[in-house]
Amino acid sequence: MRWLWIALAAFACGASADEPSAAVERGRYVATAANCVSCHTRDNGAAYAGGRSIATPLGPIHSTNITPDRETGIGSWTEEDLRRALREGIAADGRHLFPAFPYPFYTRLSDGDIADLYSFLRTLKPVRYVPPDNGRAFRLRWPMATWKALNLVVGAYRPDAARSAEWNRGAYLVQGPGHCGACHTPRDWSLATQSSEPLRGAVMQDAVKGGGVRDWFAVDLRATTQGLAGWKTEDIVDYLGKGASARAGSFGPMNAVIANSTRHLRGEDRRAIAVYLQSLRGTDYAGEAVSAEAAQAGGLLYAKNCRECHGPSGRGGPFDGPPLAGSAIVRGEDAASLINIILYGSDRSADIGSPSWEAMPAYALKFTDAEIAALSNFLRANWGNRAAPVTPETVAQQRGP
Amino acid sequence: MKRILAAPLIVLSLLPMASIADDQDVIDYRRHIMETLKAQTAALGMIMSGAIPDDNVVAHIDIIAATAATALKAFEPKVEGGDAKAEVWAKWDDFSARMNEFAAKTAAMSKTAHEKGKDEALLQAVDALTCKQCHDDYRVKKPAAEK
Repeated sequence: MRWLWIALAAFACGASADEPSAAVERGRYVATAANCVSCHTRDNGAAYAGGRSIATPLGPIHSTNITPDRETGIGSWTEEDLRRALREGIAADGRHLFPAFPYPFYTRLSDGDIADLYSFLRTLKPVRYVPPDNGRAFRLRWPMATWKALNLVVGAYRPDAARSAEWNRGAYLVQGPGHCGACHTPRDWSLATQSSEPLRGAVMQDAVKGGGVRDWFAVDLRATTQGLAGWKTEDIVDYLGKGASARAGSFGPMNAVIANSTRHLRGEDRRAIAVYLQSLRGTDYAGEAVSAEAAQAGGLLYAKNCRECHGPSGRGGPFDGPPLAGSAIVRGEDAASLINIILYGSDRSADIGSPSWEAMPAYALKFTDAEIAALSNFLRANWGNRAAPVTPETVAQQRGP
Repeated sequence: MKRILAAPLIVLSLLPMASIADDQDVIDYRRHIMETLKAQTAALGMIMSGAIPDDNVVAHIDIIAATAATALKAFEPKVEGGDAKAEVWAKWDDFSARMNEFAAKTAAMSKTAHEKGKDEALLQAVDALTCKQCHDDYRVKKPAAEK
């Protein structure tokens, strides 16, 4: 008789070890698509233990410990607690969470994905770590209730039956776990991401190479001339998968997104994201342009310093460098990211990006503010590019104190 | 008579030329070689990205292979400056090994182009043209070189 019990026990163990692990693996994938690790890990700190300082217009806020440590992490949370945090921005102890934690996007997560994510988070090694206190601006939590009442639309993503399964998968990934709009959608006066023009490009704050927090421009992701209209589906897939495509190379805040999230996604998911982004329409920029005179002033600087890699007509190439003609960074509504890459150079890790493009050098010490403004204006007004002029004052601001 | 006088003069004027290359000549010479490689890989890149028809692929590959074979020689005179870091000569064993590997890989790509055709050869391009890896270690970063 004893063999029967052993067999039953083995069967029970086998079953219980098998099913949760499938859920854990799916949950790991959700965590990757949501890029939890980039924000919930401080430099040289334990993964998911929090403590990273995130720049906001109200000052820095520190990410929380989401390892299953019972006292300092979320070890005491139930699946329902996690669901409420993701869907409604309310912690297990009832406190309102600040939307630096992008629950206005995570609220779109499906029930299944939340359950899997919970299973995965439970498998992390508990780390005893209390992140630093936040500043004064973050003491009061009750105003968040009002903010949410005005801005938060709670609920999982609802598929659009008129669109393909691929498009809906892309929309889900972009609007939900991927939370692309947290950076790429402008925020209104209350710091809520605008629902009127999602993903039209926006100014955000993040660290530049060498330290210091500056403005960045997260580009227009729609199919507009100042956005990704010139990109093929394959270009977006390559960029998200490798950090470089025929259209652009990654730098700045996008590096962590590619390194920790998008390059680990399944190829079909990157394609779904691309298909969805390419369906987004918007108004092509037709505003103020750089004057013809200002457009020529930076030409010599370009010829001497940039042409070797970016080409005589700004088109770059597989063995040269990324193209500047048609670049969403060059054409950006705000020039912050263009100025940053000139001032500070590229900063991606060795394992992402084109194998043949050389690193963009930093020109902060070589060029004056006026020279960088002239160069930016040359780029923003030639080869079909059209964007508002850049002033030396803007460059000085990006250079920082 | 004129011819008799002229002949030794021409010989005399030619003889020392090999040894009068000054440092700037050395730097300029290797720069010309590197610029040839740069222009030819850029041209090949345009073809690879579909911007230009591929009729000239084999010619570009041959020029790259032939030029790659001349490059190491151009760095043998130990003249620092231009865009070359001092590491070129400090780590000459590594530098020359990588230059020889570059020449061998581009020669192999040229062989493939002639024996198996251009499509097969282009598959080797990304692996053969690893300019970046050497430049990262041995070429001065741009802004520091000037001004």
